[in-house]
Parts: sequence; C-alpha cells; structure tokens
Amino acid sequence: MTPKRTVAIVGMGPMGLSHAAITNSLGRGRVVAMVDSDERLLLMGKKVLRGINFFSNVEDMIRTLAPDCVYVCTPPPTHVDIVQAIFRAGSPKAIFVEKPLATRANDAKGLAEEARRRNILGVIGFQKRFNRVFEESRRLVQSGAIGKVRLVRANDLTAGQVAPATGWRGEPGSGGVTLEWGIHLLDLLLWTFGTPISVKARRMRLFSDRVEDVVSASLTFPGGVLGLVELGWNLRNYNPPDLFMEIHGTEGAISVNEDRLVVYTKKRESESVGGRPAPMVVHSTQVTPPLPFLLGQPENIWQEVRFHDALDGRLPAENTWDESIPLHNLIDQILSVPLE
Amino acid sequence: MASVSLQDRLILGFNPLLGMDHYLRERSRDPQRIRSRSEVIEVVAEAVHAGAQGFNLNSGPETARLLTELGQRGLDHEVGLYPIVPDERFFGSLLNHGTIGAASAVLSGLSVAGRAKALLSGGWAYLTHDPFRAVDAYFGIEIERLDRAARGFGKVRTLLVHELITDALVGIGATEPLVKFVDLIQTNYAIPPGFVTRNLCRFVNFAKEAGIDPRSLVLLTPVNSAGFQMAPSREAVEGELASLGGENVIAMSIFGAGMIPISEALDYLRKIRGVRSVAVGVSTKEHARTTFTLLQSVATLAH
Repeated sequence: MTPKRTVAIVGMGPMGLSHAAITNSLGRGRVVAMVDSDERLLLMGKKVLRGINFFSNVEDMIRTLAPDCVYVCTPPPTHVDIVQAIFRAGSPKAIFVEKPLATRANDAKGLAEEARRRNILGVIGFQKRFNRVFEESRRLVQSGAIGKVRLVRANDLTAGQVAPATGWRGEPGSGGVTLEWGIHLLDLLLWTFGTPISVKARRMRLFSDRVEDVVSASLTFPGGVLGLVELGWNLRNYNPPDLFMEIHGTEGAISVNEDRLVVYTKKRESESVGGRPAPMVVHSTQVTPPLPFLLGQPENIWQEVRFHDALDGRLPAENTWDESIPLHNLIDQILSVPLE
Repeated sequence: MASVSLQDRLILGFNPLLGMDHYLRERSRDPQRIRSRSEVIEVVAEAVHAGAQGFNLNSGPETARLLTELGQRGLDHEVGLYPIVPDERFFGSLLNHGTIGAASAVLSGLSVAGRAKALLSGGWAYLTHDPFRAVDAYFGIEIERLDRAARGFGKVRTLLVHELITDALVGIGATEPLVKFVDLIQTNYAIPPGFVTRNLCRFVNFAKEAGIDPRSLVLLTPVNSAGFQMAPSREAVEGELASLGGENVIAMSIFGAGMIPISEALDYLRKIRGVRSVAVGVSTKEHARTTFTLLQSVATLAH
C-alpha cells in the first residue's frame, strides 16, 4: 500500500538520498520532491529518478506540493534560511534537519520557537542516540548501576582528510571539528549527563587555517560530574573514527564505543582472577533487533522509525529542536574561545 | 538474459587485507593489523595457493597498481576479479564535497585512458545530459584498467555496484538506473552485471519489477548463521537463496565479521541451500592457508 505521508528532501547529497531511500523503504512515507540549488544535480535527478518532482527553490516546492514532512540535508550555514523559507511557504507537519539545527544558538532558539508556535514537529539528525549500546549506557548511568558518577572521559576522533578543512567545513561560523564532527559526542554527553554547569575549552589548529581541528574541553555536569572531552579530525591514526566514552562511578565503570559496551561493577570483583574482574561485554549486534531494511548503520534506520512513530503519535519525539538548545549553547561557548 | 553460473567458488575478500574489522572498529586501528602493499601481495598469493579462485576487490588506480605488482610476483593460477564500483575516492569525497564533488573525484582519476578524454572533454554537460553514457565510459575505463593490470593472471568477471548505491536505488525505487546499468554491462562488456546488497529479498523483488531476471546478475550478499547484516531476517534470505538456486550468489560475511566460529560457519554453509560461492577475507598468510584449506572441505562449494 502506498504510504499517504508525503516527504520532500532538500539537498541531494548523501544524507538527502539516504533519508529518501530509508523513508521509502520503511513504507512510512513517500518521497514526492527533491530540492537542490545545483542545476546539474536536478538535471541528473530528472533523468534517473522517475516519479519525483524536482525543484531549485524550497518555497516553490512547498507551495506546489505541500508535503507532510521536509528533510533539510544541506550544509549547516544554509539551515536557517531554508527552514525560514519553509515557514514562509507553508506549515508541514514536521521538519527534520540534519545536525546542527543552526550554527548559532540564538538562531536555533528562533527556529524552535517558531516551530512550536506553528505546531510543527522539529527534529535534528542525531542518529548516534539510536545506537543501542549508547542507549544502554545511558540507561545504566541513569539507573544508578555504577553508583554515583564522578568522571566521564570521552573523545570523538577521526583521520578525515588529514588536510586543511575545505568548503563550508573550513569556514569560521559554520565549520570546524566542533560543529561538523564532535557535535554527535557532545549530544550524547548532554543526553546522558544533562546540561553542563561550567565549560572550559581550548581550540587549536593542526592543518586548517581558520577553524579548529582539535578541541579539548573540561565540562562540569549536574551533580559535579567532571567531563574531560577531546574532539579531533585530521588525526592520522584514527581511521576508522573513535567515538568513545568511559564513565566512572562509585560502584563501577562503563566504557562504550559504537560497537560495544563494557561494564565493570563492584559485584563482579568477587569473581576476579589476578585482580582483574571480568566485565560484562555487550556487542551492538546483540542488542540491535533485526531491521526490515539496511542502509548505512542501523541507527540511521532506527532514527527514521522513531521520527515516523512520533509523527503517528505512537511515541514522543527524540532529538527535538527545543531539546537541542542547551547543546547549541554549549557549542556557542566552545566556539567563543580564541583559536590557537 | 542468460542465467549466471559463477565459475569461481572460493573468492578472496579485500577488507581484512587492509586490516579492516567491521565487528570491532577499534581493531582496525591496531597498527599491527595494517599491512604494507608488499605484505598484502604475499597474503593474496598465499590465499591463491591455498585454493582461492577469485579476488573481490576495490576498483580504481590503487588497486590496479596492486594487481600490476601481484602479476610481477606471480600467482599459482589464474583468478577471477570481482571489483566493486565506484571506488573509495567516491565515498571519501561524498561527505566533504557532495554528490557532484564525489563524481568529480572519480572522473578526474580517469585521465589515464583514452576513453576518458572523450568523457572529460564533454565536461559536466556530458555528465548531466547523459549520465548513463558517462557511467558507461567510467565502467569501460575501470574494466580496461584492471584487466590490463592483471594481464596474464586475472580477468574481470563482473562489476559489482557498491552496496550503498545498490541499496539506495532499491530504497528510492529507482529502477531506471538498474535497467540501464544491466543493459550497459551486458551489451558492452560481455560480463554479467553484479550488485552488492544487504537487502537480498528486496533487491530480488526490485529487479523483477524492473523486468530483470535476478539469476542473470551476480549478487554478493551477507549469508551467515547469525543473521548478521541479513535484512529483513536470516530466514527470509535463506528462502530467497533457495529459490534463486545459488549459481549466481556469492555469500559474504560468512563469519559474521568475526563473531561466528569457523566450525559453525562451515557447518552452516554445508546445510544451507543456494550458496555455491563465498567471498572470505583473510589478514595473514597463515590465516589464508587455514581458511581456504578448510573451505575446500565444504562439498557444496566444490565444482
């Protein structure tokens, strides 16, 4: 049965095409339009993708087709203008924006307020939250399984291009490792530990001229939890990337990356051999249920499922624009630190 | 369209040679797992000596260089080549430079061959007005490049479309690129077209809807006892394999990226219907020797 929910994709890059494929495959929405400012892509799209309407202007698309949901998958500096154009032209039920919502917290707040006023569901693409090992890690922390948490060491490091950042990624105000890479880890940290009370950070260049390649931050979370955070791209030996958290509590510790969760608890110490208690190890494949369709990582599919569940009123939305404001504030604070 | 009957049963996969581990990515960063080209060549040679008949690999100039050096070293016998397109330059550029930038990255590497000159002289107008013709030129150049590099010991048996492209086409429901690709490869290169997919059942339906017999295609897809990367389920994929008959399917991830013990994986291969060829990665000479020797004990993979 053809789904009734109509979907438009703004930005025909990899993320836009991925959302289109996943949405169609899940049978929860039907892609009716794609928008891009590059005429070459539109021309190619018209030749190879039948049954989809192509537009070079977002407002024209909204006024012509009035889709139920819009995915905004363009570079971050364009998000505010595109979402405002959507607001001007109509009121879809939902707008999904690839991270970040905006490059400045004030702009993000403005969009969130306007969406709330118009009763539009606004969601951001933070798919790492849907990786089951990060979900489980958060559940364990919040249930007190490792006692009172005192310290979290975390990093999100990648080799990337091992060269100066180019395009919008190399532009101050839109690029740099914080906005373009480390934002996923920062989101996971705030999701797990709450809004930081204090922030001290250093930003430094390795290869890039105008944006930071490395960030070192010390965050204090509610309850006095100390967060020691490193973000980095252009780091030669991080291919594949390493998104990692190590959480220390009074009753145990957790280390978690995208593939597995390792839990050390006091209870297990009685069974230790040689002073090294065996931890509980959970691989993501053990806790990820079968999916009807695979494209990229499983969390990309789960994120999409949750978005449509929220639209159907089955579950509350995850990663909402309102919820993201503390994260955007934190990023503003980090980016206000002089570049070394 | 004639049904495909693969002649190679045991195919060497590429990723573990590069130290890549999809079960635990942290292992991939272990410096001791990362091989130099000369080490990779020796592992490939050992795998071929131990029974590998085919080589599933990336496409592109770096692979061509590897094949040239492999030829200089010499192999025990001829191997079939199963390259994946587009190559890593495309995906490496995709996130940083977008769709057009990624296409540029691939096309800019084609200037080595005569056919590329025609393609590039047409520039973007050529690509945008007739994308399939541009893709055809790209395929032709890749096949020519790899066949030339492997002259005397290897031959391209198929071109396999990368799973991210295949599964995106399936998801979007874009049948026209599928039909064009199949037609181009069959008409111009006299080899069967190939696809990598983690959604075998969906892909088979998609091909049928497009009027293509899935048995006329080479299909590289995960098949393992854990159901790892088998959508929508292991049982559904097993049913699809049985109905396809197995002559055109290459099973990959038979060890579930390392989580399935070798004895369990081999038992599963013995039982399952519809698998006659497997692609298996190895990381060391000893690993190559052990793995391919054991795989030869699986009767269903024998000629």
